[in-house]
Amino acid sequence: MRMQASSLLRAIPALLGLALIASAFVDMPQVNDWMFQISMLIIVSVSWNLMASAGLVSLGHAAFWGVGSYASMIAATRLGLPLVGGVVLAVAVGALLGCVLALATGRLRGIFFAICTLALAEGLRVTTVMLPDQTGGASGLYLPQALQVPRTALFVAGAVAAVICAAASVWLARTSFSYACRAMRNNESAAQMLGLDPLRYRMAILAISAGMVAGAGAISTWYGGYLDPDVAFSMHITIESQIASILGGMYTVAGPIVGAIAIVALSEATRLGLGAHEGASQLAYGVVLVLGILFMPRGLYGLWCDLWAGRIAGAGKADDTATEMAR
Amino acid sequence: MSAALSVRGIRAGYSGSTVLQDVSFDVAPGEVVCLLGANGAGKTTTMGVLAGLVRCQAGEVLFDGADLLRLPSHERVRAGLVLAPEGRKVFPNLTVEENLYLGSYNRNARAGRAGKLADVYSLFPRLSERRRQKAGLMSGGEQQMLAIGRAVMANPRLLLLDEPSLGLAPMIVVAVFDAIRLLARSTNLSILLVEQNTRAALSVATRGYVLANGRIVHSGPAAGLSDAVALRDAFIGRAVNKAIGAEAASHA
Amino acid sequence: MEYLGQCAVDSILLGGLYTLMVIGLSLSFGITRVINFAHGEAIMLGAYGAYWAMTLWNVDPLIAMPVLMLLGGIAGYVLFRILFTRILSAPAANQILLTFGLGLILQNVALTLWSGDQRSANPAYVFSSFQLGDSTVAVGRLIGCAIAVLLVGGLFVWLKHAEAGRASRALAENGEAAVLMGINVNQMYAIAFGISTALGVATGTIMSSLSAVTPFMGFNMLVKSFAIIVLGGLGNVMGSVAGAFLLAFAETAVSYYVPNGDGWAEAVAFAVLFFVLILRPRGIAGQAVME
Ligand SMILES: Nc1ncnc2c1ncn2[C@@H]1O[C@H](COP(=O)(O)OP(=O)(O)OP(=O)(O)O)[C@@H](O)[C@H]1O
Ligand SMILES: [Mg+2]
Repeated sequence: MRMQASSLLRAIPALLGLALIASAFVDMPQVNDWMFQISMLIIVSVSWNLMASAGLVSLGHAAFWGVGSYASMIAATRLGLPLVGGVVLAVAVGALLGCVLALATGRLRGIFFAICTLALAEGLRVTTVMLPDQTGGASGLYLPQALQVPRTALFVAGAVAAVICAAASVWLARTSFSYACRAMRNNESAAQMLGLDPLRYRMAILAISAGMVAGAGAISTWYGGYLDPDVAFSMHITIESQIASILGGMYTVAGPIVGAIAIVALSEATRLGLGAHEGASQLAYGVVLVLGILFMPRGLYGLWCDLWAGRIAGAGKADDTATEMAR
Repeated sequence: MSAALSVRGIRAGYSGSTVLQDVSFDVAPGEVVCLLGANGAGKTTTMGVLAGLVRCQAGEVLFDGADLLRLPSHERVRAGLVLAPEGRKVFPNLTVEENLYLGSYNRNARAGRAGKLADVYSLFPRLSERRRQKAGLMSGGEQQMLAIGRAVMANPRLLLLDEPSLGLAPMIVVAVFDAIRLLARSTNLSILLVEQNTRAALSVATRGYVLANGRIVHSGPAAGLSDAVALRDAFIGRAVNKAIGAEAASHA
Repeated sequence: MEYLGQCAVDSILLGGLYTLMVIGLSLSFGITRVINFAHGEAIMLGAYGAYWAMTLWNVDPLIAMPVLMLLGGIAGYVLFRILFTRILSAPAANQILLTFGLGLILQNVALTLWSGDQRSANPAYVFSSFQLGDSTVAVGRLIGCAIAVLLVGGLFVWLKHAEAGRASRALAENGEAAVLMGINVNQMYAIAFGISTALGVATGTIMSSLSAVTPFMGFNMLVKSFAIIVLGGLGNVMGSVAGAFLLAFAETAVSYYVPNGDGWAEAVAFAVLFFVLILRPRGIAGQAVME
């Protein structure tokens, strides 16, 4: 009985992934748009959560996003690099930035690391504005007509990227990597004594996280067709990436994905309820952030686990590990 | 003026572990009582419960007949129960005099601050010489004097001293205990003294209790305690075995 | 080096303001050990308060300041008691995200109420200036700097001599020992946080006539404050003062002597943050920056 339930549970993510990719072929623009948003959000929040689970709170995901966007856009306008090449380049540049950040921040933790990432994003934004010859400056860059691709292709690309990132996080959670992350989150010097080299893990985590987000930035650039410093290094990216993880459940695999769906639903709801006013959705995010931290620090997924554990007396092993991970 | 303390069957500990089991003892007004025991016996935990730093899981504590456990820590100080903690815990970057001023932060002590300060300086002339020095730069003995002086500034009616001899050279221990003896003479002060230095403690105390593995295993007048049999037993843990054996018997 | 005198005058005036901007953040962190990512929003709200006082009732920002500071202080105190006491011992991630979320809320409430338009409170004196040797001194900036110096000086006196100021220094050094002195820790935290908020509001009031008032102005100032704090060493109030003048000098120098300098000056804070953390992760004064 339990076996069946757990294998069913295991099949759900794969089915959801397929559904996400399949949705790209549905001819309903509104649905496509939602799914694309969800895909992008899954990528950034999986990435944010990966860093957070190693104790690295990022307030600068916009930096990774923007660097990926600009790398692909500049390569497209200068060299005519197409979408796939642009995404690969963006991932590479993003990963490089991640490594540099890991080296630069050394052993900084907590608020200092957070402040550093914040400064990185804002610093890159100002730099892009100030270098118009290289980046188009404040007036921005347009994607050449010849390189544009059909929307469906973009939706598929987004969905596939999201599935890859989610799968990567599932896979990472099963390797010893996740233990190393947890050790680093709780106490880096203790982790060091366990024989882990924090810097190596940090570089790996930051390279993976930043690469993911940069790739998403590139895909999104193709979707928008236009780029300027405020779009590329927008604070919204940073906020959305952390809010989805918190609403869904920090430090869990499922959390960011649940959160990404919930956030898109929430922002659509505020858009419908309060109109397309820019402040409204941000305000809602802020409220979710504050209330989430205060009253639901384990997120929707944690809540679900609790309910599930309550339903089935003597909760199953899978639930226990999920609850354990949520801590 | 001095206060009476009555501890009735308290159980206390830290998240996940219970350290104190059914601990009861009394301090009568004006009395000097010592609490002895080996490392890890639970002496500091007991002091923590009294000062409100460690949560009490069961039992009651009466301070002058009133329920002490209801009061938050800072109000206990105002009520006159003042702890000079283990390891001194002076404020290292504040001057000696600032540390002393902080001692009389509570409203009941502010009025008589100047007089108290003079008392403390005459009790520990060393502090008077160093009044402008940063507390962190003083020697261990001087810091202990400061910790006691700071507690005295709070205008205590019951003074809790947790291992004032900790890490001090024998000569300094003598000086510190001379001061404690002077304090004990004052009529409006009761003292509860935690020590591992049994000889020093019993030289000022009138009565004592021996704590082992979180239980009171022996109590009596100081003279009796220094007979040391019970004490030695407690220190090597035999008393605990006996106590546990007795309890098992009573359960059976 | 042309304009050397002017550059010096400008950086000193700016440094005074930066000191006030950062001192509140530094104070609340030093005592509560929670870094307040919403401090910029206290500045922003102070600026709007001054702007509206000027626009609606024609009250000079400097006259509105004490009232606004009082309101800000009370708001900070209440907010701390309601929200922050719950996360005092939570992991750093939760603290960062809570204060960040609070900032987000305040920013967007301001955006919703007052739109993103740039505004400015302009009492007559901000437009006047006088000559000092070769240099021009803007009266508005001079007054702003003077008030900043006054407030910072007042804070130092309070910390040094007031009963509560002494208690808050003790609390910053050793929380447990502070309890044993009979200090009501949660109340003291809230008081420190209230003062910190009031100082943020004061910064905003001065800023309202010196720069554009927008819902997002606070964020920019927050990042600058971080740069200063990192320069001076976290929780080190004196270090913050030195850091404020250093950043002010660097920014002013860049805007005078680098081509396109006004734009690049905005990046100085980020560069400072990054390089100090890389080269001297303990701050220039040697305080621990690692947690
Ligand atoms: N903060 C704490 N958290 C968890 N356990 C603690 C804590 N403090 C003390 N303990 C445990 O409680 C027990 C009693 O400790 P306590 O400090 O009360 O002993 P003590 O009698 O004061 O010893 P000593 O003479 O060494 O000071 C010990 O086993 C100790 O490990
Ligand atoms: Mg002890």
